[in-house]
Amino acid sequence: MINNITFGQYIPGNSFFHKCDPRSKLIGVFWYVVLIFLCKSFFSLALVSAFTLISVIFSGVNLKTVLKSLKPVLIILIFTAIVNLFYTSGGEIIFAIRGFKITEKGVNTAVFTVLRIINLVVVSSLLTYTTTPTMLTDGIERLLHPLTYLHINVGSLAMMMTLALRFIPTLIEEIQRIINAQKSRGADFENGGIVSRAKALVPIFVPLIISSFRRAYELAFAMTARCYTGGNERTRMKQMKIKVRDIFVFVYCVVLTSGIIVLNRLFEAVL
Amino acid sequence: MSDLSNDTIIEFENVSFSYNSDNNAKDNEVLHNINLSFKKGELVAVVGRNGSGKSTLAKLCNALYEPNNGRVIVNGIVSGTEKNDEEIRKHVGMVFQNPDNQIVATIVEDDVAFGPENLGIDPLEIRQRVDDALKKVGMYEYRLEQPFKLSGGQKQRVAIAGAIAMRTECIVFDEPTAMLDPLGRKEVLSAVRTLVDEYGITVILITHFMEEAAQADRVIVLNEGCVILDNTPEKVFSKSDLLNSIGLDIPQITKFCALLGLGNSVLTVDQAYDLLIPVLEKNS
Repeated sequence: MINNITFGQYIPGNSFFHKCDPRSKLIGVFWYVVLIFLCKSFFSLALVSAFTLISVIFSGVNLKTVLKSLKPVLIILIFTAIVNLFYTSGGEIIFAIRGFKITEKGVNTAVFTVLRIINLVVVSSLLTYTTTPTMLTDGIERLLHPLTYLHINVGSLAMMMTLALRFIPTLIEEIQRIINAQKSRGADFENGGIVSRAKALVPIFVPLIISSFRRAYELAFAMTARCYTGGNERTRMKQMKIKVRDIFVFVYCVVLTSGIIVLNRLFEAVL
Repeated sequence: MSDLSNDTIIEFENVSFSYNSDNNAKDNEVLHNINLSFKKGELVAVVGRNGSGKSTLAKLCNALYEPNNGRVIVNGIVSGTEKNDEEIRKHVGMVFQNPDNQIVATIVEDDVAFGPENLGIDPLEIRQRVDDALKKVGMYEYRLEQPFKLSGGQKQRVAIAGAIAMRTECIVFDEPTAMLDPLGRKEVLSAVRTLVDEYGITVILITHFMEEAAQADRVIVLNEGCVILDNTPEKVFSKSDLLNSIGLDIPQITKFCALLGLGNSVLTVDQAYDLLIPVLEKNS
């Protein structure tokens, strides 16, 4: 029940993207997502898909694993395809039953949207596949650094993220322990309707919340004892440096951007 | 500031403490009028039953709590103000009972770096301190591991490294072995011993296990918020009747030797061995 929760899904490796600075990866992925939405024709989308495929090769992640990341969004994909298929009108009618019409434009939109979502999911999962949660939060902290001038305590935000990630395995263990304890006293989590199963979860979550508060309290003591003040004067052991390969990430994005602009101009828009 | 002799690191002066400070009722007090001083380089064990005030005493040592009455002085700094408290925590580190609730980061070396990072130390210096601290507790090979994959004893050693990396002169251990298996206890205790013997760090060890207390240089016995014994382990554990009357025990080996009529100052198995072998050889 609990074991299939994975977070971050970092896959250890030594590829080009693994070695990149998390900041350039974060900016790169953000940029890429914007580009996916800027595509107007099938040709520009084809270019993006080609670049996505090249990125997968650069990340050293198995193609099978990448396809697996699409599994959770399969329902969304099917749903968007159907909605777009039936509700987009215009162009030649290909097929019609009982008032439902499938038009040429409908098919185009459906295929286009689905391809977009696939690109989106693959690119963003490449980020989590090649970056450890720690690196990710560190990168976010540093990217948000300018916000400190607006008196927003970015360090505390990053610390919260780090602690949340740190406690996921601990809390999963705790949930398992509580489930076993309640089972040993006769609790039944498997049988009954939705309502009674939902009710059975209450005796899991109440002890979980109480023990989490106790942990938080102890953790606060431990952090205070180690001179944590929540201020902005902390230094970091691991410094980040922009290297040549990070510049390559930016070049990669620039090339893709110009390609899309050109293709958008040359070919007719789908949407 | 108080004038202390140079070899005292922590001094308790008439310290009283209660958790709800608003009503001054004496019966709410957890600690009554404690006077203690801890010397540099000592390994002091503090024993007592649950609720005797051991953990409170530990938290007073590095200004996590403030006394209601009296003063706690660390290296000449009196606890109580925010600035002083932060300074005190640079001198006195702490290792808690539950290893899971004191590890902050998702990678071992990042966790050890947490304290020095809070102090605002230069990144290169932190790197050096972290490697050094991890080597001292024998966890250097595990520096890139994720803490939740380590055993309890290993996690506690990471926590100790976290305190060492801050270059604290004194580390307070609040029942560090209570949640560990025998192997983990052994690992942590030998790490503690190394801190004292090789690096000259003062250690205050709060513990339930009399065998652990027997290895200290000095044992303090707390009962209902008062210090009732403060002496060498030999002297403390020779008072077995007093200890039994407040619900504490003496180390099993001490009891064993006392029953055999070998005196009541035997503290370790090795000592017992040295005493027993001649007797056995004479009889055979």
